[in-house]
Amino acid sequence: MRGEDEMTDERAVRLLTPLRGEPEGPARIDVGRAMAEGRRRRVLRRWSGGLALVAVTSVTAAGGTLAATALREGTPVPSPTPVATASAAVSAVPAGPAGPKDCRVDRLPTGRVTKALVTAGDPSGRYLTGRLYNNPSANTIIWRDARILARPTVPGDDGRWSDINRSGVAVGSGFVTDDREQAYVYRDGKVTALNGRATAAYAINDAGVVVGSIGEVLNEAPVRWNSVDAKVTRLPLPDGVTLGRAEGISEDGTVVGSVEPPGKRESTGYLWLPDGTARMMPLPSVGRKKADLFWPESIIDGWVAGRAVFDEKDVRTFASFRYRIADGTYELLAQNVIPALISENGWLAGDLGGPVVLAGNETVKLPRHPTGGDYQISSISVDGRVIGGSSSFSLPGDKVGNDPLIWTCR
Amino acid sequence: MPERTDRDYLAFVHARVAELRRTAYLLCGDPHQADDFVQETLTKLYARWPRIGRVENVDAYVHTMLVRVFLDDRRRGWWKVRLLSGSPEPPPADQNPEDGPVVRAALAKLPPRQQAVLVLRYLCDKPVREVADLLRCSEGTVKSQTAHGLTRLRALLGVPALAPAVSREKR
Repeated sequence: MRGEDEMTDERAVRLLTPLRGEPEGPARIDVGRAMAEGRRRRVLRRWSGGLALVAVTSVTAAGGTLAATALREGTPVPSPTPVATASAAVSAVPAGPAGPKDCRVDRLPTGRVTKALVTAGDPSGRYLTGRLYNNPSANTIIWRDARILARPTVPGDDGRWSDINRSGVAVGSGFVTDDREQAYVYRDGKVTALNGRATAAYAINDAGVVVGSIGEVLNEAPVRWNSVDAKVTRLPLPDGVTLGRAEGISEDGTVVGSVEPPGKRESTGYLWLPDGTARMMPLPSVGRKKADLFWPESIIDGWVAGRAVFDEKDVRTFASFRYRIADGTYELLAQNVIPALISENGWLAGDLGGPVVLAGNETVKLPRHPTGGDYQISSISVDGRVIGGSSSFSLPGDKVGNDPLIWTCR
Repeated sequence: MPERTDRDYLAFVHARVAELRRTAYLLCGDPHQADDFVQETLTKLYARWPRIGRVENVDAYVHTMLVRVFLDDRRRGWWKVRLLSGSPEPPPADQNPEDGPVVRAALAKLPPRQQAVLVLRYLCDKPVREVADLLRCSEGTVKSQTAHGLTRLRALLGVPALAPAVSREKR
């Protein structure tokens, strides 16, 4: 005999059945506008402490209209067998038999500021950069040896440092208008603008070479500054391609980034090599499936690590890889860590439902911080033993807290 | 390397926009208004994105935001309807209760939260627990809002409370 609830549910479903259906026609959703407006509201909220309801208007934007395909993150890619495995003879990445040991986690000091993030770290692990929230006197922070070194202000909204080198020179950007960023450098206690209007700086190596982008948000082209005092120069793009970003640079001067191939609205990996040549990164495969895109997430001499994107009719899946620049081969990682941040000994730091370091097939769980929540990993030192990141956790009143964290291991 | 927040936001939006559109459409019954609700939800989401953790945890959060956008809109509209009509209890309709527009018009006369509860439970097929999470209320509240909403809807549609709601099907 069926329960009363079940009877009620069945009858209710039938009562409402005439309303079933799918929205017809193309989606009139403009993501670019959502981002521009959302960014403006970040500023509003910062200043007003509250948010007024903004009237909703409908806009049909040919350029920004999304195809309403359902894609999903987190679905495991079937048959995780690598098709391109580095042969032992060529491999420069040691197997890393033992992962990091005796790791401890500490909250980085922030003075009186309670909400802060780690955004980047230098190759040595001595320097980390971060963002400070709800702090009128400065919006960023730089730590050296886990102590506060400086609290610089990056002009504009959402000012942040994207990278820092062994000399403690940091590069980053702030939004000077809704759709225009400006690149900045921190050096010797001072913040100055990098050359070029509408630029953003994403990475700096120990030689002081900086890479980034120029152009309005979502319409950027890749650039390089040969030093923090140099004029900005555009990096070459393949025929027919106008959009891209230079996102990382290794010590040998190899630049990794991403470009938007013609006809695609999303970017895929691209390399500018020290010899002046440049090439698309090939797309890796898992089983018989070839990836649709590859998103680089970190670079170190000889290697790029990142995420391959697999699109099917209504599902999007990811798989993490490392790519050997010398022979253009991919190795599938044992786990899909996000992001995949690579160290010189071949370890990879990232999030896997918690902070981890992958060492070959071994997954070393890093200790959680007592405030708990979710983790965003932002840096790993070249020796793999210093990891920077942040935790996110819920606070009363729908708010989110963040703690800047450093993990140190033996 | 840059923070990957924008890229992750775009990836999330691509992944979820179809489902958000569908939920918005079931809530309001109008494809254009549904897109407006999704647009507003994605804007709010981007405004908060730097403070949101991993993408996997955002799903329930963004659906809660969508339902709130719907409720905010309906609350404003609801008061307008009541003030203008002067009669919150219109007589039972004598139109066909299997006709979509008729059912939609009746549903629109319910308080916004009852509309949301009925749509989420019986059109989006979400369990009571999930609806409670989305509306940030207790399961008991969801059940009582369901009962009140169904009673009211039947009255508006002229469907007897004890008879099968739609009698065409045979048991």
